[in-house]
Amino acid sequence: MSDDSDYKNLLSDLIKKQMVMLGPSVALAKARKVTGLTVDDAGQVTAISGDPQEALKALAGEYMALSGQIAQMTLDSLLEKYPGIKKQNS
Amino acid sequence: MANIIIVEDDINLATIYKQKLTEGGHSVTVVSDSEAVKQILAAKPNLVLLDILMPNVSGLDILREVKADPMGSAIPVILLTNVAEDVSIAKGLQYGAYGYLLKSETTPDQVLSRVNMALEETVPAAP
Amino acid sequence: MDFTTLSLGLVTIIGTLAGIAGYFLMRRKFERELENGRAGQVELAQKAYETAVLKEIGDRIGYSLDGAKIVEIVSGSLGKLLPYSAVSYIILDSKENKVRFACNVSETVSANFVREVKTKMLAAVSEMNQEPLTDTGVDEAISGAILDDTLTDKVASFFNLPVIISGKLVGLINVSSKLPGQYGEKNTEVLYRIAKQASEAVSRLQEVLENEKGKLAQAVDSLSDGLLMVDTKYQLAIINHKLKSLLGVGDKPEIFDIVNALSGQLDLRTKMEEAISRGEASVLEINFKEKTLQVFADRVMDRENTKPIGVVVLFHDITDARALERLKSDFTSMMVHELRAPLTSIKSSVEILKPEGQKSENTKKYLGIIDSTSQIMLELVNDLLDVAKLESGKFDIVAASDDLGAVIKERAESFEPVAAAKSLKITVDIEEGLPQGYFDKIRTKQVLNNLLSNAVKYSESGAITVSAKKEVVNGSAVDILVSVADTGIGIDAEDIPKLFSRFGQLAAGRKAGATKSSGLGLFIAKGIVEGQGGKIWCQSQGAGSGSTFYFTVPIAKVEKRTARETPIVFSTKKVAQA
Repeated sequence: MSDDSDYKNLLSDLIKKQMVMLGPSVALAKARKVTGLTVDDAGQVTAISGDPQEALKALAGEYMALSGQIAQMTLDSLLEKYPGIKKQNS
Repeated sequence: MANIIIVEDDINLATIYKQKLTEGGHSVTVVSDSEAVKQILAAKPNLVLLDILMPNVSGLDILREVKADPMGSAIPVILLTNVAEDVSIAKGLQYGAYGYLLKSETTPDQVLSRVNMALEETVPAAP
Repeated sequence: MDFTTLSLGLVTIIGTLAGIAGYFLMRRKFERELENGRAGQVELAQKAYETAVLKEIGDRIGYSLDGAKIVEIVSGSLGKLLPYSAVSYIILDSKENKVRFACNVSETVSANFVREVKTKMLAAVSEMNQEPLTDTGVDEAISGAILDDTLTDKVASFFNLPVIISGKLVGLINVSSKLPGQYGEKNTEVLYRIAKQASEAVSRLQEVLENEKGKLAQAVDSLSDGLLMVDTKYQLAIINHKLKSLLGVGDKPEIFDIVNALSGQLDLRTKMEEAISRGEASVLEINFKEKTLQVFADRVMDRENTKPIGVVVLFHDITDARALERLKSDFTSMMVHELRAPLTSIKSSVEILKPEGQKSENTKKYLGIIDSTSQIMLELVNDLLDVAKLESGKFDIVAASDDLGAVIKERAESFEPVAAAKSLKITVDIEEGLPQGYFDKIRTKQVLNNLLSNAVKYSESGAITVSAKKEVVNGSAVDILVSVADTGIGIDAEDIPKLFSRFGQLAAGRKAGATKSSGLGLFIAKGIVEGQGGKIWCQSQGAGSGSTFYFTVPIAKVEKRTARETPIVFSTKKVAQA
């Protein structure tokens, strides 16, 4: 489903950005904590099992714990690229 | 004995001064402020009693005009005022007034004696 | 082989296997416990470190609210918590529009390594701010171990720690190592937590500060006076709306806009410099654009009152007040003038009528009444004028060196007739060799007139004693003390303070006094005595036992007499409305 690939791309973008911002090991470690996400070492999400919306929420939460509003702003600007995905109520 | 001109807009006071000075043997005329300079220079009195604060013309202006004229320069002028600290008094003395008196502090008797003193001291200019 | 040997063999093998398995199990268990134990230790160490850093940050925050400081502190105190080759930070200084990069190398690396760190950090900042940040104009500082360009290590692992205050990225800390895989979730967790907590604390503090600043700004802005404050570098810290409109300097003026606006009327720079150095508030009146302004400048001290942190200048518009004063003064002059003229006419008319020559006793009597009442009213008008002058500070005292004793004697003599009429005796006692006093003769006569007339008015019998003597303190004469004592109705202690006010007349006095007076006499007497540099007061044992009024007159200094030809003119300061 296009929805699904949108989510994969969105999440991948998010992770990759966080890899630049926070450092690859930390960003990947946080991403891999999210249940249902399979992430390769380049930050690409290869599979989502379970509700992608939940995964997005969980991932955003992980990053916000580290970089607060900056993570939120990153996410917001990414969401603009993926209109299909509803904006989270944060 | 002397011809005196009074320039005073307060009719009551003018009447009183005229009465007193007439009793003292002088010939007194009361003139209005607008006519004052003309009348003084025409009559050439022996002494002028000049009120400073008047409605139409300022007493100081009258004084200056009279003193500026050769006919009037020798006439002794006594300024009349009600406020002692008035800067006009100093100015008046500068312009050549003989002296001044405070109306509220000077009884008619005292006005007469001041006038007589002034008349004694000043010798009228020989025509 | 028989069965027994087989079973024995099996048992042994199984036993051994079990033993080996058991060994491995045990070992696993041990290792796990050790791991836990180690983890526990590490956790403890982490917690201890966290507390220490937070405390240091807390202490330092007390001194300066600075996101940059957090960045420096956290990166500086990493210590042995993590293994790393270099710890660096970037601080974004928005006030001075600068970017600072500092790198502390803990083990020798190449210059390329440092450059790589910097590049990665700039990329991270760019990503965070969603705005590219380039290397140009970035201040760089490298410290620690020396760099060795023969080395080829790359940045094999790293992580970044952002410091965000009130939603803005203030700085970024980077920890890098030439060894891979150094930084995982566990060992970085504590740092992220610290940075976040510190940032939040600072953000909260900043919010409170902004709030308080906002409240202060509002309070300052609603002042009806113009106000400005500068710091010790004369940078404008506060300027309120009123002052901006008073000076016409627009919405966001600089300090030189204000100095310029005032130039010609007020040297603001000098005033502020004086205030800071001298520490005494100065007041100045200036005329500015048809307004009269009172300018107060005073320095502001820090909380411990040890050093100045700035100057505050207040501009008070007194244009209207001054205009009102002038109006009142003009009105008073006009009224005095208008009142004196008719009163003079009345009094003078009586004289013209020659009461002494009147045949009718009635006529004589009533003419006398007209004369005396108009005289009283004239004196009342004089009093009113004096009070107006005292209140507006225009009451002039022209003092000179003179014989006070003679003045007293002369005044006392003039009161003989009225005193005799009431069978009162006046005694004058002037000390032998009384020194010359320094006073305004006319005004002092006025004071004596008032005291003597009161003494006569409020006594039905007895004596009035006027005396003057010099007061000596520590062997030298300080002034002349004059007293007027009567044996009259006296004054109650509680009424004494009111005596010298504008509403001085007391009920008892009003009853006793046959003639009315304005009640202003003592108020004016006080103005005169104090204007000459003396004091006036009253003593009485109470109703029915007489009263004594005292006042002092300064002694003429011998040098003054020879040095001055013209007498000094004193002007009384504004007399308080009593």
